[in-house]
Amino acid sequence: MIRREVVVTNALGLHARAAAKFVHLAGQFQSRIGVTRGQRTVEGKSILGLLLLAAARGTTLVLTVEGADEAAAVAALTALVERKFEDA
Amino acid sequence: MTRLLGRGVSSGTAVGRAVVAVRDARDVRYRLAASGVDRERQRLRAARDRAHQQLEEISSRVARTVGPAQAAIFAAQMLMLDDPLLVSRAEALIRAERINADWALQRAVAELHAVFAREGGDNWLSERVADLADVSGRLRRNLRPARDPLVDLVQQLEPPLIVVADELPPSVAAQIDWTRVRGLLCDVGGPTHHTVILARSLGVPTVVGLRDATRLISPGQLLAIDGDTGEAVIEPTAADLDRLTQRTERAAAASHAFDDLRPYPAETADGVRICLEANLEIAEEVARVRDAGAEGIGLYRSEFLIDTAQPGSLDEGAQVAVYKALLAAMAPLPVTVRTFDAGEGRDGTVAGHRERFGVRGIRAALHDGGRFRTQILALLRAAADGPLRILLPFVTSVGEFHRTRAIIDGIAREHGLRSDVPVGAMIEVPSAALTADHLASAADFLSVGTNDLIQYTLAIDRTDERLAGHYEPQAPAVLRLLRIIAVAGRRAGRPLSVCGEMAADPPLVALLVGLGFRHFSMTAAAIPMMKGALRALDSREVARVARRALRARSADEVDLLLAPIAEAIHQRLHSPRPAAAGVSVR
Repeated sequence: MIRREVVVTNALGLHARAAAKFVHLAGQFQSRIGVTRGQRTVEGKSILGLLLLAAARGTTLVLTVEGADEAAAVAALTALVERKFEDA
Repeated sequence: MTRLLGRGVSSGTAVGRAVVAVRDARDVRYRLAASGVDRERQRLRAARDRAHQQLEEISSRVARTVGPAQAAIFAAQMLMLDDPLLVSRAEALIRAERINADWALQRAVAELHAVFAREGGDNWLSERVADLADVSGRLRRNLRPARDPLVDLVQQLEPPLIVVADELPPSVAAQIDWTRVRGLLCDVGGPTHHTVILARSLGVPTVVGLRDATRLISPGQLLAIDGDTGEAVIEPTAADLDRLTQRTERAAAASHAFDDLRPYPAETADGVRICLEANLEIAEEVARVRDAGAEGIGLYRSEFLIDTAQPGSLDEGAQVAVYKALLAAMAPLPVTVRTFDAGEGRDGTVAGHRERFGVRGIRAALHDGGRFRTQILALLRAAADGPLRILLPFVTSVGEFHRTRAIIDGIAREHGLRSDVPVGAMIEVPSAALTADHLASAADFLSVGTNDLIQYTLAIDRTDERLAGHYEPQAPAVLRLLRIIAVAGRRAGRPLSVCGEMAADPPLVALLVGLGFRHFSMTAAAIPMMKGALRALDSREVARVARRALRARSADEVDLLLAPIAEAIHQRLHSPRPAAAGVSVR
């Protein structure tokens, strides 16, 4: 299992289109993906879950990934957040 | 046991299990049998698949015409459709609680909205709440079959049932199998709503204006209702049921109290002959009209045909068959068919509001003539069989009447059909009432639609239950218009009848007799009682009261003037002696 902190840096935060990109990418991996903000953890493959986190710019999220392709998944998802969701 | 109090609008008592139909949320809620769970999950998945397909189409169209960034909004919506928190959660609820898909979906969405509301609150969340509402609305629409689910549901559940609706459109009410439904409760609605008129004519006890009955009553709960007192009891006690049974028995006895008047004509105590005809909504109910002793059908509301027919099946031939059947059932008595008035206050929505002031009645006939021409052709063909009369709704000027009549004459000529079928004008807006003299000379007969006349004169939306207390048939303004119409009808020597709900209320009928009306059309169930009530009236006395009422300053003042007559009618209707006592034999 891998845990990694990422900071949301794009202006609009984790809004619908950003969350959609995240879910699309997450869906390409076998691993179970959890996303945590404070006390709340949601399924990384659930767009509604991600939206519920209400992660505005500057929010720190913790990715918890477990499974056969966990290393690749963490790398790809972290990169997506750091690239500001490719200006989604 | 919980007791709710609303407005009783259709007499009688009923006991049955609740079927809750919430149209605000467009959901019907019910519990499933164990065997129904899988089918319900299938139904939900099929709805999701259809929604998915629609979103894909929308997304690719938007990508083409607007741009990929905008199309991404719909990609996000598709992900919501597949989200475990939505459809999977609803499926789990179907399994765990055995509730139908619509209800389960509504619950899942409510859970999500609750979390969004708790967590968010700031602006940037509202955007996704809107997306969620959009997606769940699409799912819900895809769940809904073409026919209102309530109609099928009533077929599936064990009778006796009581329908609990926030608002039940007449088009749905007309399709329900009322032999399985004993009573009706509505959150909104007033005494002249079309569904209520229908319930009354079918003898279904009804209470409206309960405000939150659909929230307080759960599907399957036992209900006892009283359409006279406006009571609705949830999970009644044995004592409640006893009380209700006694009332039912008394009511049954009372309904037969006037049976012995059946062979006698309707007339006042001083022998003024009054003609009582019946209103009809559902053609199959015509036997009830005959049994009640009606002297004809004064108003057949033909638009209910549109509501009950399969789309596209209501062609000329089908209509001819319906009108001929009515003539045969009533022969040799006359049948008055009001042409389609589909725009009439069908619901309380904005669209309904526009319809009430928009293209309805003969405006629709003049505006888009196809459906009207088919109906006229069918009516003219059926008229070969008996005394059929054509009544044109929502006439606002004599010019409009002439134009419509020219169309009817043209159709008769074109097909070589009878052109002497009487054509009447419905007077139901102030402009028609104020020019009733012109209409009386142009039309073969006049018919006053008091429901609309009151609504338009007093500017009271009759579907708005907050205004229910302001809907006053005895308002002096209404009486003055009625007087103008009565005088115009008499001067032109044209048959003139009153056919709104006002015509089924004995003290108001007394007032109308006093104003000069002699011809009424009402719900069939009210006819025997009305014969009894008329026998309590003296025509000269009611004329005196009517003259004073015309000068009254308020509806309350009119009520005071009417009080002695209302009391006399009450005595007459509730006296223990046989109703036929005092019948004069001439």
